[in-house]
Amino acid sequence: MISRIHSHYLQRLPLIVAGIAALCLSACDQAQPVTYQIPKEQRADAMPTMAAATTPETSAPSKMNVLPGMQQAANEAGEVDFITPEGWKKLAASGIRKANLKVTADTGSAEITILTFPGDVGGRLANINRWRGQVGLEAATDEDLPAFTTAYDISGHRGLYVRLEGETQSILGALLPFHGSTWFVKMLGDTPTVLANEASMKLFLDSIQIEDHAH
Amino acid sequence: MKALLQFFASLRLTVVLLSLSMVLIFFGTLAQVETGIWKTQKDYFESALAIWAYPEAWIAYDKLYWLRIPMPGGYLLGGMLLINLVAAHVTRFTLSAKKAGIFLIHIGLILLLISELLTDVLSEESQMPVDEGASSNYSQEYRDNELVLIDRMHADFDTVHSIPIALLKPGRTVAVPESPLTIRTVSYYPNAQIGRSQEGAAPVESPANQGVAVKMNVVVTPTAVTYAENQINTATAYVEVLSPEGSLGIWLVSNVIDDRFPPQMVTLGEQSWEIVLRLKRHYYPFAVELVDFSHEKYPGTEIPFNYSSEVMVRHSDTTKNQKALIYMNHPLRYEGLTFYQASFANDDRTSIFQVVRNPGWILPYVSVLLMGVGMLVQFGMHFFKFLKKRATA
Amino acid sequence: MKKFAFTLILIIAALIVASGFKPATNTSDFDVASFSELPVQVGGRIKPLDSVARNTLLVLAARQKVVTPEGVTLSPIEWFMDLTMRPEVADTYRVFKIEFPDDLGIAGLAQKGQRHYAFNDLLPHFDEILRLYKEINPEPKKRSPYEQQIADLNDGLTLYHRVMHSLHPVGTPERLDRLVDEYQSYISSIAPGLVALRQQQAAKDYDAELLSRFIQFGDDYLKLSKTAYLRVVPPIAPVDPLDDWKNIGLELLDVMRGDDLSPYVTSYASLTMAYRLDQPDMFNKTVEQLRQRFIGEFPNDINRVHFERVFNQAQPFYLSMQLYVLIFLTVCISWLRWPAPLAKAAFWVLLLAFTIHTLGLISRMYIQERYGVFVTNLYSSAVFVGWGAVLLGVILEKFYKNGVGAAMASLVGFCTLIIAHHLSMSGDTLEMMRAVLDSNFWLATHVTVITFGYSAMFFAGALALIFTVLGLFSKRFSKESAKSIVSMVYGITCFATLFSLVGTILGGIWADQSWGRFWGWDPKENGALMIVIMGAIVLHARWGGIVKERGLMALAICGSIVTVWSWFGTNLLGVGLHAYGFTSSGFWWTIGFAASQIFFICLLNLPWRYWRSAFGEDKNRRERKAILLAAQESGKA
Repeated sequence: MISRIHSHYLQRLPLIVAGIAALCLSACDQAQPVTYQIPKEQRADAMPTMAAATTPETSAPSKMNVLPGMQQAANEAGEVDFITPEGWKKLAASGIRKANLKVTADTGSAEITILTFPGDVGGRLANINRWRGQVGLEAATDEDLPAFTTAYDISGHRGLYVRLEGETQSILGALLPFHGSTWFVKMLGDTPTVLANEASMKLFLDSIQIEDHAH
Repeated sequence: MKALLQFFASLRLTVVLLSLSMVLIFFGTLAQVETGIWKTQKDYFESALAIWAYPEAWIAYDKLYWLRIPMPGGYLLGGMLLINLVAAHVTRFTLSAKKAGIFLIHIGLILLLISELLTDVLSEESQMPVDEGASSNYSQEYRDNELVLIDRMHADFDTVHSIPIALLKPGRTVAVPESPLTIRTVSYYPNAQIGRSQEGAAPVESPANQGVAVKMNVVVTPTAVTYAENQINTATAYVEVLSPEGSLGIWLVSNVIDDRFPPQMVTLGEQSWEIVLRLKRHYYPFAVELVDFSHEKYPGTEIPFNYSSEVMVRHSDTTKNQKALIYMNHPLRYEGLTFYQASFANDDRTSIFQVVRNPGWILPYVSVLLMGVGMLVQFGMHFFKFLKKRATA
Repeated sequence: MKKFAFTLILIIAALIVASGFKPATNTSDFDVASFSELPVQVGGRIKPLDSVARNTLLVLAARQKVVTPEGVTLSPIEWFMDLTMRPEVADTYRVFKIEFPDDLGIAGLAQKGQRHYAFNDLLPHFDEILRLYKEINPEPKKRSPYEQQIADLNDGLTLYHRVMHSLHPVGTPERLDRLVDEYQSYISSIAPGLVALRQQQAAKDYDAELLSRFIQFGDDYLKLSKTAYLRVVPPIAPVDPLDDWKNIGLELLDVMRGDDLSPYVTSYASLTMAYRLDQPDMFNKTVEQLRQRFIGEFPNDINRVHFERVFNQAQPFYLSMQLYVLIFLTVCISWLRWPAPLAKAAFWVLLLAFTIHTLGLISRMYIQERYGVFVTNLYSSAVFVGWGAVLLGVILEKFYKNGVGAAMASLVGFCTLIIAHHLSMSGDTLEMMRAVLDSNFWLATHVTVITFGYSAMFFAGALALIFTVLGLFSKRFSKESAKSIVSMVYGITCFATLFSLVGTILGGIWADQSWGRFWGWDPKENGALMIVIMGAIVLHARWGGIVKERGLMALAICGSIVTVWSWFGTNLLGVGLHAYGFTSSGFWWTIGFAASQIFFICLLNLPWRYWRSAFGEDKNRRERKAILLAAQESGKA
């Protein structure tokens, strides 16, 4: 026996079912492209790519520009000693930076960093071209290299000194293959400041001692 | 019509549906061992039909590999149970004091089922990593990707054109809103190995003529999609950018080609856009600054006993600024979103929040309240009846 | 005779309880009891050395006693003293349990009929063990039993090594005999050593021999700081309970910075020397000194540490287990003879066992300082499931007074305590909880309620089992008895469904507060939901008249199977890992339990003519009558 109250519900039943069905269907809507505006974002400094970038195995793609394994590799790499040249300010080493220094002058400022990664990190040319990109220079080929690179000894091992003069920014740096990893020493900053500190940079490079277990 | 209603309202149907639910949940739990929680939820509990396959890891797989067991899926069973419950109330139950308890329990149950459906449909979960001393104004999805073209020409703001990954079907074109560009997808791989070309790898022929693929000789080897909990699929695509003046080039984009690589720029005359494929972002009108993250461990061990993040939320409308402490079991509810302390990284210098938008979050609490009261009433009545019987016996 | 039976049962019970409080026999003059109460910090909490000794021995040997080559039985703390202070002797004791030594594949290791091996027996095979260890699957859930044995052996050896190095540096017997002298010469060498080091760095002349000796100390103690397992040196007072204590190595290294050497270090050294040189007076005096210092610095903890040692010794759950066996036997006998006095005795002993069981749980709460929290890990969940079932049994027995409640209570109580005992083999059962689980409120509510739901489901299943057994085999099982069991099962199932539903909902609320998702389809959540649904099936089937007595019992037994799946089965799975836990020993027990329950369901389905009870015969008669009537009807038509 269905009372009047129940028949009222009975009429509502199809409506309820339809309502729920509509809800389900709405979930199947295809998303559309959108355009929106956000506050200005700084693009972080490009870091060297891994020789074969693989699927990052982290559940948290962190904002830090460090691939998993990079930090650990940096920690496991040897310690580095150096002499801070006159007028350079030594800052705290952090993350994968084994050393971090700064020099400021009227003409501008420059930052000096030492980093190390396992492997050849994409190879000599790729890294140099990355640096070239950072100071606004066109990519170079292997044939072009002798124009701005020379062999240079660092910590008792043969490396490569790189001199890149850009319009506003310049880089003086060195690449050092070292027992299975590569060390990068780079001064990047305003061109006048960088070029004025070339002598100091060379002194700095000469003073670098990397912990060496292989010899 | 009446016979149909009787069928839908019958108690036998209830028992059958409940038994089928148990079977579904059992096989769904077994399936999670193979395909992880997220995928199994989609296959078994958010579907009308689920099919269980005999797992490779079990004995006699070589003889039973063909075994497939189909069963009604979560939505079908949930829907039927809902209909069964409502029909039963309409036909059999009369609203009386004696049945009040059962009414409340069942209404609470209906509400719970509906709230779970709403959660499936409406809720959005994403994560927000913030470094100590820094702040973040966006969160990113765990699995969903987007193709974005970022226009940084304006001095005061960036314009982001976002295209959902679902629209990147090979051969299809999508117009980029509010821009002269159109994207044509050449190919799309949900998961792949990205690297420099090496002998022995079996990469896909690269159609790219611009960007990282060319400059760094990066090639793509498609791989199977992974459903493991802590792994991200490297969504990858070759896309061609078209303009009114013709093709601007073909780029390789992937969610692993991120800030660490030089930007891939699309240029048309004086305009330029950075093209990136990344985990989908949700930007907010506020920024969460991580003032301090602390990670306490039990003394003498590495076992964590509390993580807490002190945050300062700065809204563009400064009256809505808020300071908060987010820690385990103590989230921040702000602007319709809830921020939970999920995890941390980088040696305790980065805190990672789980951000959940679920407009229906209050429903389970309401349903629980109804069910609780209903149970107290119903079982209370039973218990007193039982005591009275024993007393007179 | 009746009175005698009653009194006998009570005396046996009293003897069992008394055995737990017997003071440990200590034939030597060394104050072992006080030594066993010295506190250390391990795994995040302060505990007595007694606990460390017992847990270590359990992990290595799967039992709490050691038999020396001379045939003397040692208690855990005595073994610990030998391990740390006379390692050369301890190395001859057989403490490493290897279940299947022949399967290890290490030539020359297995000894016929021996399952316990001494350190010295394993020493020649270290390289081989290490090599095999490197090759096994790094994922514990995916290891084969062989790989698991290798892993256990390697981990056991590491633990042994680390515990051995916990009180002082270890070396030759000569070194151990002169520890205090060593510390003295170390301390006096620090200042000149640092000077020599600076001179060397500045490329000046320095005393090479002095420097090398100083560096030798440094290296030694650095290695020690990484090996020592126990943290025996508390920070200087006033002390924060969350402060890290230091292990011996760290403390010795910190002396280089200019700190004084903690008196705890020298005290432990003199303890060792006194023990080795057989000087009980010296030993006892030093132990007393240490104790007094600890009381002075940790006035709030001394009682708890002492209590923990007493608790370890009393082993209340082991006592309850024995009492439950007594109760079960008594009730079974009471169904054959002397029903009244034996039933009464059984009830009293049940109350006693329940009280001890309860005191055990409360003691755990006190030691962990988590009041109201009954369950923190799988071990305590097993203890609590038993407790819940016994509580239900006591209540039922009070109402029905027919021994069934008491029998089932003791059956479930005994089984769960055995399970708990096996679960305790992995180490400290009073371990700390991971951060997300560390909420006393939710632990006390959600976990307790759900576990109580488990108890009730198991209890209902046990009642169904007894119904089956009595119904099939006991002539005296009448319709009334059957009716009472049916109403018991129905009532308990209502209770179980209620608690499981409430517990599951509480879990959902906890999850919503923790990570924003009320329901995540996690295996454990799924298991709990299955129990709720099972309970709902039983109740709805009963209300709809779909099942009668046998059907209800069969469903209740299904409930037991579902509960075991939810409690243990889901733990075996490694989600997203293709690991089904096939290699875990728990897997076979779970399968075995399920098979046994299915067997009972089959028994239930035997036709009524096989049921020897009065209840069964009555059912049989009714069925035959109904068939006859139906045949007549169809004949007529």
